[in-house]
Amino acid sequence: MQPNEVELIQQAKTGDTKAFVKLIVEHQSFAYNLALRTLGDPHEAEDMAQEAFVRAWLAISRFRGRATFQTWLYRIVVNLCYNRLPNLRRELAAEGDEKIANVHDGLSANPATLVEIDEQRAFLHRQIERLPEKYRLLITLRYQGELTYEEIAQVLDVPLGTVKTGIFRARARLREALRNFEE
Amino acid sequence: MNNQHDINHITDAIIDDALKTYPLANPPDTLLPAIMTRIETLSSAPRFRLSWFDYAISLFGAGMVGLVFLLWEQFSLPTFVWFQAQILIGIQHPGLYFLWIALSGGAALTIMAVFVALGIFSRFDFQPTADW
Repeated sequence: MQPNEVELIQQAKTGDTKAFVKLIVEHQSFAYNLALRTLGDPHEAEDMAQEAFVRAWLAISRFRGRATFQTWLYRIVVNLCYNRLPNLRRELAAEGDEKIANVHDGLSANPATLVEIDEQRAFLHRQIERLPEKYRLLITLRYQGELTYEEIAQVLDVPLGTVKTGIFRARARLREALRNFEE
Repeated sequence: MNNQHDINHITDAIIDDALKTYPLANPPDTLLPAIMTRIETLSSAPRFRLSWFDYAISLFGAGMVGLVFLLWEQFSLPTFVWFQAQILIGIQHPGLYFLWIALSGGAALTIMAVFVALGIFSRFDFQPTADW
């Protein structure tokens, strides 16, 4: 957590709404996108993001900083998503807890190769939108939220293995789609 | 073998790139004002908030009602009359020995009930989100 954010949280705890506005401005984009990716509906996502921030405001006096404000807030958003989509948690749990040693992310190809992939990228973006909710949620937390696997497990309240398995399978689906696209 | 490995590596890199460049949508301009309107409405409204003591008192009250009900169910009329007579005798006794025992016992029970309630309810915070 940035020192400035710690100060803002302390001020918000005393009821300072201006400090809380700064926290909203900092996090509203991702909170909204997390809800949007999971629910797929902009209006519902806006309502959910709004509700999440109101709940965060009501509960901020009890935020002790054991986790980052970011993961704490995402947990609130995810809990609202769980309430909205009762099957979501069950489907995530159904991913199981396989021993996935290494999810191949963080790789980089030759820049010369990457120049040629605009079309593939656009295709893959469309495929990401077609993934099941549980995979969209995992991918958003991992690649847009840039959370670690441990943080994602904490936010989703699922075992670490489930997170790794889910992301591995989401990538496998994209790999399969890309193979079909190229053929 | 090496060629296949290279293809897999490139595919993974393309997927990784797509995942990382998947664009975030801009949140609607109405989001922040809507949140602040709700927060200001909440702040200006009188907040109804229960403390642990409210729960402790409620538990104690409910316990007492339950105790009276149980006693009422258990006591037959002759026993009840005998019990009342004992109290009256105790009050009329010069040393008020019986009355003091009854009062002390009642006070001890009350204090115990409050502490039990405190022990139970201080473990819960009755809030909608996890306390991190």
